[in-house]
Amino acid sequence: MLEIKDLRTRVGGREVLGGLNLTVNKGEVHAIMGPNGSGKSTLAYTLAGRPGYDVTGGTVTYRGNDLLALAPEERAQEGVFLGFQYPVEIPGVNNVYLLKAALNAARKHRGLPEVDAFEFLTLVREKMKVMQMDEAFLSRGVNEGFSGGEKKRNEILQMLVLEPSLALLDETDSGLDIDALKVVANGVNTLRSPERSIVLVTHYQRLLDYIKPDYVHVLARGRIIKSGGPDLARELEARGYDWVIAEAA
Amino acid sequence: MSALPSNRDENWKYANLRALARVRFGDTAVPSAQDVSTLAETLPDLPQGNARVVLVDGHLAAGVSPPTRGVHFGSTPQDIATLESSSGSGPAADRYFAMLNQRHAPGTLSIEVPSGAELDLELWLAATRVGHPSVRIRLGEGARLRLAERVVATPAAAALASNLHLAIDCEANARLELTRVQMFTAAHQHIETLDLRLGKAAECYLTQITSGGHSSRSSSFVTHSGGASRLHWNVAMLARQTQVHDVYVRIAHDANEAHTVQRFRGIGMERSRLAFNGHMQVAAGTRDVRTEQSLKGLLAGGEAEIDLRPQLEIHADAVQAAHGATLGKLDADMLFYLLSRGIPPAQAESLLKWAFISDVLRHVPTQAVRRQVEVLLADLLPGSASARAEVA
Ligand SMILES: Nc1ncnc2c1ncn2[C@@H]1O[C@H](COP(=O)(O)OP(=O)(O)OP(=O)(O)O)[C@@H](O)[C@H]1O
Ligand SMILES: [Mg+2]
Repeated sequence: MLEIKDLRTRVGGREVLGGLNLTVNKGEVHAIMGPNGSGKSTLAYTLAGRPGYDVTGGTVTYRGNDLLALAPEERAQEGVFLGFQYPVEIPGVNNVYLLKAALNAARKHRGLPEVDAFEFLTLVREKMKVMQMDEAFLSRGVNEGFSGGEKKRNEILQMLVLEPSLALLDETDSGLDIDALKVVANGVNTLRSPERSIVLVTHYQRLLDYIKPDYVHVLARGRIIKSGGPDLARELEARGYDWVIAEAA
Repeated sequence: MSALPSNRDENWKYANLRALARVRFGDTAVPSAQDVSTLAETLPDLPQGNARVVLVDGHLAAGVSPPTRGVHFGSTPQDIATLESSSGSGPAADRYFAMLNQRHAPGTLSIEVPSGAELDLELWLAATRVGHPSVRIRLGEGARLRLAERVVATPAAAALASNLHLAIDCEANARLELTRVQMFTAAHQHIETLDLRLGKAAECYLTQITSGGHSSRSSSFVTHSGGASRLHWNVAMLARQTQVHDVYVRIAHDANEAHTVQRFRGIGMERSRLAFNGHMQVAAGTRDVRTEQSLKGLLAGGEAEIDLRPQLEIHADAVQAAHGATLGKLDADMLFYLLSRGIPPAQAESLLKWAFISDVLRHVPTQAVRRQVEVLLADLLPGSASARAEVA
């Protein structure tokens, strides 16, 4: 699904990713943990194609094609979804309108006609139920005045409607209360399938109690310095990062 | 009669006067029957219960203006001479085009809504060559008028110019909803003077969307004269290519508890220029006047220019005045968010432009009118609103 080789990204004049390698196969869930500022969001943005995140070396292959050659919107249409760490508020753009426009953009890309208005609403209502979101959120501006937790739910709602092949979820668990964490985890789990892959960036092992990862990686100073199974997350929770960084040095 | 204003005149710095000086604003010929019938075909169906009146180059197009009580077109000198500024003091140059209108208008459309009555009216201002439409509106006590003003032009006319004078008088407790949609065709140069007087506790909701054309200049003079009146003045403008749109609004708060909310949202694309000069005056001796002013410009083209000028001229003590003016570009984070959802760049930009002016649209008081305006705007901002009506 995703193969990252020796990826180097410059942001704001300095190299933040310095030779990162990661392979994610179909159906797998990978968790990425690591200290603040280590480059986790930079990795997510690089994969999504954010301007200002300049790739200076390495390759990224997504479903056999060069991901880096695609424009941001093409990556999304091809099934890459980024759940933002800090979703932006867009007052004046209707939440439901964005959902519909996004879905139609992907359908158009696949040569499908625009979604029928009735089918669309049925789909959205069903997904909102999964996310335990009130329908009033649909008519509000995108993330406008949403609480931190509501924004994260909204990200997952978008993901459920778009059904991406590769979901990159950047700290989707941060800022969630205990119940909301379960709702969000449940939302992510409904997407899990042998055809899809999920990369979760998180600081907390707790999320991984609900979404069981196949692999856990430590990202530090712009590289993956250690990989393991779910036990690694528990060990990190108990011992912090210093020992991994020391080991890798 | 004073001379054509120049860019040295205080309130005319940004107007495209050079282009206007080339227009020959003489008397207008009666439009040809051919032009009128062509225009008539472009008018949409009239909604049930609405009345319609069409002026072509300032002349009444009787064939497409079914008779409506209180609506009358008069061309005697008296009909025209009764139009005059109700507004406070200002430089003589500001009245130049109103005077020109008075001299050359072929007649005046008078709209009278008697005390306690209600009227829903469409006013179409059609242009085939050069015209001086003149419109006078009077709302009696407690009267209600919902006026939708639209422009339409002969397609592919080489040069179009209109010089509109609109004078509105609202008696006590009257309520006016004026929705102005000005989508000008390429060669159109539009000039207008708007006089508005608000009596005691009168309410006016003005919403204006302006785009296209060659250039436009709008001068408005509002007086809160009766006290406790409310004015909502919402203007959105979109300019492309080398278009120039220039607006001057002077609002005189001459009575206690007058309240004005003014919003301007301007989007400048390509090499266009937009200017909005919002001049609030609060007279000495008044109390509890409130003014809120929010002017925002969006520079969405390499060489576009926008000038925002909030002006407060306060001669009273107990005033609440809030004003702000901000100029910015499309927000890169918002844009990337939309792209990351698969929305193509052109559509994403349209959506953000739409969002930028949505503050103005949100304040159209009648939902049906708001819908109509949204549909019209969808043509200007492709991909932004086509699906909006269905999902809302
Ligand atoms: N636009 C920018 N200009 C300058 N430096 C930047 C920019 N964006 C990111 N950085 C720097 O790159 C480094 C990595 O940032 P990144 O956001 O990827 O970290 P992170 O691992 O996601 O951290 P956190 O756990 O706090 O979310 C940080 O030192 C950050 O300051
Ligand atoms: Mg981060």
